[in-house]
Amino acid sequence: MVDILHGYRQSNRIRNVTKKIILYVILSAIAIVILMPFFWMLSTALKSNADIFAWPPDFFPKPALWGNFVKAWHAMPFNIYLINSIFIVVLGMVAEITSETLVAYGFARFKFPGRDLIFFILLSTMMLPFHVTLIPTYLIWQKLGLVGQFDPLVIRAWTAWGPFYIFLLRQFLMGIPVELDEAAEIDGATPLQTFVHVILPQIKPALLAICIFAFRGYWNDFLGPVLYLNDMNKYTMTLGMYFFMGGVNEQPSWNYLMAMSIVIALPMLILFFIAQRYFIEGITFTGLKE
Amino acid sequence: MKKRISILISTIMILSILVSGCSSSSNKQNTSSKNTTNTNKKVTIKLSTWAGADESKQLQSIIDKLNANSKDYVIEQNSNPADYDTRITTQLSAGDGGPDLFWVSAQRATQLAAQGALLDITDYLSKSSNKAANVSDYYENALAPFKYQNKIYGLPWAENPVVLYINKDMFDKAKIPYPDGTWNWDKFLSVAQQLTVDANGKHPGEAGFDKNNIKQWGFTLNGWPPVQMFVWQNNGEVITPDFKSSPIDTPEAKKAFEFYSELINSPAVPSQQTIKDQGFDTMFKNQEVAMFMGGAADSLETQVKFNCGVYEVPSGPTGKKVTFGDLYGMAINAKTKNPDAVFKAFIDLTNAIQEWKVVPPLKSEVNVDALKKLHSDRSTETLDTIVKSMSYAEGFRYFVNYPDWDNIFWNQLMDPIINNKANPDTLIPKVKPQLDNVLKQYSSK
Repeated sequence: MVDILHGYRQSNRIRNVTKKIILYVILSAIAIVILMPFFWMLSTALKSNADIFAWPPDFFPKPALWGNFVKAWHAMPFNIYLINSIFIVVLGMVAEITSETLVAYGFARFKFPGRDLIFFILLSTMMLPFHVTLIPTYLIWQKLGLVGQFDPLVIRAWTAWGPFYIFLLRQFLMGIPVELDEAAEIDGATPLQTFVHVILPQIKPALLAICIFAFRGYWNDFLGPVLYLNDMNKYTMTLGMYFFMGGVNEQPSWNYLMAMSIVIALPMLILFFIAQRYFIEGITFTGLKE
Repeated sequence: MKKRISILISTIMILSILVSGCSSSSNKQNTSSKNTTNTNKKVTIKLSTWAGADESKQLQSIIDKLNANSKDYVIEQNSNPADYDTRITTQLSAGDGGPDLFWVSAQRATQLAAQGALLDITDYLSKSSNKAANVSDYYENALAPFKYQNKIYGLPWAENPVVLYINKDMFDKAKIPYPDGTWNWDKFLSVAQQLTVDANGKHPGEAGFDKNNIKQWGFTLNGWPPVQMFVWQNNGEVITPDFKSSPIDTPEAKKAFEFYSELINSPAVPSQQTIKDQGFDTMFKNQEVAMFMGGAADSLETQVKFNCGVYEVPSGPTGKKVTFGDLYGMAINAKTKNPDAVFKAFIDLTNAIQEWKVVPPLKSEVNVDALKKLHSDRSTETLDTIVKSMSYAEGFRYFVNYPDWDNIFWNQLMDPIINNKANPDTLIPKVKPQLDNVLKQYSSK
């Protein structure tokens, strides 16, 4: 009896192990396919420009030119570009999250005439391709005399201009029981106090997810800076990187381009790994458990 | 609870400081630029270009010299190769706030001039004593795209004629003499075939030649060089000088399209897939292709490890010599606030950068001695080839709706010929009416 049970357990364990092995083999294969472009990028960054198009491609360049990262960084004033990027990212993120949380709070908790219509209009702006608004927006900033400054890239975030994030936050807020608000109100809290003390702590995961989205948006933003910044000292990392695309008859420096691409991707990767748990939670978590 | 309130308050305070700092810094900058205008009477001029990393540094040193010598202006460079067209068209359409001066391609120049976005500089040029303002010194073909209704809206600062780069080592190995200026299409194709070798060392046409196992190709093309060059070499046209029709169905033009298609399908040219996989000019640089047609400014012969020579492109069947020349120009924003100062900067900078790249579009500058002084890294033979090529370089006939025309020409005609091995003779009768239609719309305007 014991032997039979033991044999059964063993075969069960073997089956489980085989299952896992197959699963991990499949997962690893998919991971390799997905990581391939990143690996290619790294391998290109470590080659000399002459070896990049060698056929067949050599994935492990010898010698690996780690100095390309330093050379690329110093080829253009990337110290300044980094400061500019951080400046825009920090201000933009704070502005965006503050304004959008407040707007979402308004839509989720207050009843006012035309609320649903306004929300509908807000959502419908998501359908507009950016080409449509490109020139009108540029004209507005130009009339305000702010083209060439960081202002168009930062101040626009104060207008709660991300309908998707507002939608996300509103849905999240709708899941929080109104009873909590009412309790705070009975205790004499003003709507703003309720927002700060009752609502904000509840929506941390959603805020964090939006933080990451916004960080990615501002950090990788290319079209905004390329249109509005017309002074090379105000360029951001993404604009600086493009200098390696070649010019009149300058050959593209693919190795430098890839090196800077990795540098630019790095903060995103680190941030994602740190905040991964909240990130996923923020997107999938739609409400409080009743 | 208190902690949270203090965090919120401090966040808001930091925000307000940062935002006010942001706007006050912009105010400061405005006043400081105004101050410089008042005290030094120097106008700040914004220049947009598509210069790359190294080029932007070279350009900056040219600009620094000009700025130091000028009492009227300070040029501020704003270079970026990224999305140049989107950037420039958006900024120009918005009026002031855009660049005062900017680089412009020949194709865009015609379009922007017609839309009124470029400053008419005809009178300025006639009054200026600068060498670059001497309109009669420009090659006619080089100036044409910058003219609109007999007015001049910009100046070219470099022309890049197509020349033939060859791998001399491969020629020597095959015991084939280098091009001597008398090559026509037939000679070119036969040399290309002799330079094509399979894994067993056999050439196309020989018994046992394995076209699936070629180790070295004679020539390469993928839409570049443009078919127009071959049409012109055979006395044909793709757009008539009066912009009324596209005579691609004449025997001359048809023969050129057929030759182009013959090259594409020849074993002497790699398949389009191979070119995409291994890189167009890279295959030449990696010694897999023996001959390559590239711009004179590309200076491939200075970048490769083998013995590389620069020669004229072959002439047409009747011996007519024509090559395609790409143009880089500069123009002034029609809405600039200080046209006088901007013109001074424009003409000084044009003059300065005409000496920067190969080839200045000026007849007086295009001779071996003058070019040798500016480009000592190129050999006398190379410069001689470039000078000869400039004498017969032609550009596309740009007009306002050129992008529409080009779209049809490329998608309906050239793309099938190049990528689907389509027969030009069956396509031409179908495509010609569409091309003519675009031209009809243009001339009826």
